[in-house]
Amino acid sequence: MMNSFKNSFKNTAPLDFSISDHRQQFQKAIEKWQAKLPLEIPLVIDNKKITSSKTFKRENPSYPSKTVAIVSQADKVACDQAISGALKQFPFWSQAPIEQRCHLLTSLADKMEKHRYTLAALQTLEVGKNWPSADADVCEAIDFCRYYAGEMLKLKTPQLTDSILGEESFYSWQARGLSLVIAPWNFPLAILTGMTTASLVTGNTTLIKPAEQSSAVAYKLMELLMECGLPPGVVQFLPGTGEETGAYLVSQKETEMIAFTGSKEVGCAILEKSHQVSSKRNKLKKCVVEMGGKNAIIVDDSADLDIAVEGVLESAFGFQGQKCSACSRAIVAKTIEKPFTERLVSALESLTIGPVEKPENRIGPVVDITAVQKNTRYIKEGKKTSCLVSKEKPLPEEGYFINPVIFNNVPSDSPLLKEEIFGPVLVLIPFTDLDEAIDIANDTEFALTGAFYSRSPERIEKIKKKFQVGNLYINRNCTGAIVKRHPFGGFKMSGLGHKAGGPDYLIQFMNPKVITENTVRRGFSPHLFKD
Amino acid sequence: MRGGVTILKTLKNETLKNEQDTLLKMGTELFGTLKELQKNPLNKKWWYENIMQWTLANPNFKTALFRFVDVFPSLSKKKDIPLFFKEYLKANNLIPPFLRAGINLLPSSLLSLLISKHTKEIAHLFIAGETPSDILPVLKKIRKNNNAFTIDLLGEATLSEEEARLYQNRYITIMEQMYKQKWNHNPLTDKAENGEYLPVANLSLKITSLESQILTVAWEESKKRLKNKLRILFQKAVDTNTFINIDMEQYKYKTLTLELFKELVSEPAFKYYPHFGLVIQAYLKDALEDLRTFSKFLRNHSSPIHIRLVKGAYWDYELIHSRQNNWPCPVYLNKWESDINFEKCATFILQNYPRLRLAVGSHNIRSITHALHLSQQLNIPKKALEIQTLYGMADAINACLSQNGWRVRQYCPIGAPIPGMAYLVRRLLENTANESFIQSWQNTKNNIADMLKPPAPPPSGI
Repeated sequence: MMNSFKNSFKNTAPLDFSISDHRQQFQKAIEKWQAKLPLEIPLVIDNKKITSSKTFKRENPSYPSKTVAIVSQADKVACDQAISGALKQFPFWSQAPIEQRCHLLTSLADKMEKHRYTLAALQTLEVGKNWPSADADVCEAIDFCRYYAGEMLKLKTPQLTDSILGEESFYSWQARGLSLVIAPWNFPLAILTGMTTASLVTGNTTLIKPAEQSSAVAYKLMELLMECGLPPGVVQFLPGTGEETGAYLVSQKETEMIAFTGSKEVGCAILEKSHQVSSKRNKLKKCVVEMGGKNAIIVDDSADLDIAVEGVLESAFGFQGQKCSACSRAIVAKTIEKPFTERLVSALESLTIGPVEKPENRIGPVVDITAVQKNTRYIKEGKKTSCLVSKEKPLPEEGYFINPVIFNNVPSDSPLLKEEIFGPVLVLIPFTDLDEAIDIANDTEFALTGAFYSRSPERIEKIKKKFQVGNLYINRNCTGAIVKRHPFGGFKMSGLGHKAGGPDYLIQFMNPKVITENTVRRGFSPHLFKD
Repeated sequence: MRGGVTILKTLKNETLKNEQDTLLKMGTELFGTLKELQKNPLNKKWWYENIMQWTLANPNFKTALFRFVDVFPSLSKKKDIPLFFKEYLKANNLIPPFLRAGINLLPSSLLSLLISKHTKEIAHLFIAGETPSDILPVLKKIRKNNNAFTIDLLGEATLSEEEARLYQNRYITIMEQMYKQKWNHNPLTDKAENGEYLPVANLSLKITSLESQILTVAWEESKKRLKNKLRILFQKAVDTNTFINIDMEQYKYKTLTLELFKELVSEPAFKYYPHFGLVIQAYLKDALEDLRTFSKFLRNHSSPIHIRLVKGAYWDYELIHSRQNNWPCPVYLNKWESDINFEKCATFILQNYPRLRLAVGSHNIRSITHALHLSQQLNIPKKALEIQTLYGMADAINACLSQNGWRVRQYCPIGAPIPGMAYLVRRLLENTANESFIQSWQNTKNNIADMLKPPAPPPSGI
């Protein structure tokens, strides 16, 4: 069984919604949750559930009058308790046999797959993901578990650095210590699971600070981990606000590393705090951060418009643009700008907006009232300075719905071109020659994803060399990275170049240790005896 | 007891042998002159034939050329044409010798003209025209050659409601235009087995053209919307005496297509109209089961339904899509498996005559002969079934069949260059697949007996 996951990793098959049984089970799962709401989400410290007096409510973004969860907040006392418990468990966990830690991950994967409808349906209610997107997120979470388990086994055996007489030098990896995982709400199970399992399987005891908007989904991870026999104190579940719980945890000196996925602003604040060297704090915390993007798709005049229009539509408006990989700029060849824009605008108009419990709604709500306000601000700005080409439709009365928008003729100094909006706002930019398009695409502080639609082999080669992003896609959309197939992560202000779901991710969570032994005693070395 | 079993087995083997003998006899009668007919290339096809020969030997060239053909219509700048052509063929010295001199010596503008001209000519071999008025002379010529026709409207992918509406209007327009035509009644093509005249106008619809981004996850809603749109077209068909065929597309839409077809034809306005048809794809493992279920449904239905049996045109897509998702593959992986399934499905359809009517959508003379031979054995009148071939690809086969009194219907695509090219690339791919029937027929010295053998796995060791 241990060998079975070494090289046989296979991505989890998504649900096939053309099969009526899959649709029915999903519908049932939604109804089951609806009957249970609101959920009470506790802290979990040393595997004990603790309800705190201070709580916050999380509403269903499609129906904000309905409360999905009442979440306990972890205060300083709880955090300190959690940290102390996790520190105590570190020696045990870091020295546990690697197979045991890997087994935890594969058990977790099996449980998640068994409960996939339950896990996905909760996402539909808590963060507004439509059925296929919610299922895709659960698949990704399962993939992370299985993939990292396999990768960790590969790292188990120390590697001989070189073959030399009289000396043995081995390269090995060891856990860092206590790690802090700060997770986002937009891939509420997948990214949280990815960071947490990476931290766990490499031997670190882990504090989880989930996003406020997805604490219920995050809590399911904690529950499943405990069901898999997670020893108490190895993972501490600490929901709360970013400003209070998150900030406090980041500032604690006991953590050796922080794994963060979220906005550039918060990510930079974490990086700054973690690298402060003073007499009080003599540690350099390792940070694995994935921050954001202002991702561009370039559409050449030789592109197949059928797939380019569909690809830009999906990349810009899938999950209402709330993905770090989402396309927010479409850079289109001037000669095809008109037909492309027309087809894109009509295609967008044909997508129905409404609550995502109903599978016919392609565009759901944005995640909370702050997102509504933020998007509205940018859209207002766009209407003042640029040209709105998309049509606005009547919106449902209740819910955090906003009309997805497409702008062109955007002035070059507009924040719409520079700042990450994280919503369904797309900007169209024309270009005449490809070098111009590449310059525009690279003219951003971010470098996360990008795509190029073209049928010219030479232009494709050029783009491959010059388009500066961590994940570049040719003739397909720039979202939907799959574990192992598309290791995900960017550089510049998007991150430090670490790629989740790839072969280099786990080593970020460990310290390398080279042990060199002089094997010569009294002039004799065992190597010489060998033959 | 053992003796008895052996006798039965021998009898069975003899019966099979007799069947194969009569099938062989029939096939030879029908297609004996096929090779001769195909040996006279029309002048305008010379470039096409050379290209086809070259592609067989050079898969890289084939990929490059077909990718060029695919992008060709969207090249708005004339100077791009030779640039792209060279880009695609430059790698690996892919330019065939009979083109090399031309490409290197001719000035760019002339090269551009030649490439455009030839590519367009190839397109016209397989695409009947761009608009309904273009196509009328083509249709009249087809009927003059004692063949019938069915029209397929090529178009860009429907990505919006606007595009869906336009497509729907195109279907309506063509039905109205066909209705206005005064067709000469041709008993060879138009008479059914009961002496009545079949509709001359015959139209194939694709459900994906009528709805932008069909969501199978929203099953009831999608079905409702599609039925509303199709209902308008079905009604128009009844009003204009047009035969309507619903095409089958990607596997993900198959169940939805079957379900909505059954529901629509059961509606009071349509249940007595005998001119509706559906496509079954023999490369699907589900095909026979789908036919059985469909046949059960027809027990309570008032009119016959015509089934166009085809192999299937989305094989690559289905394989890739199912592998990428880690789903079971819905299509047979081997050609001979599809061929066997084709014959099983044809058998089922014929055995369920008159509830089900067979249209053999194939260029494979074994598949065709098997179906026709079986229909004779089941005493089904010749005019109760037909063979459907692709316009421009099977002239010789069409001639052999119609001369022997079988109804042949040519599947004629109409469309603008860009969507036309997508269709063209698919056809070119089919015609040059190493396993394609046409290739094996043209390139081997096989005699007709070999070509008419039942499909079977290749002998092991190959």
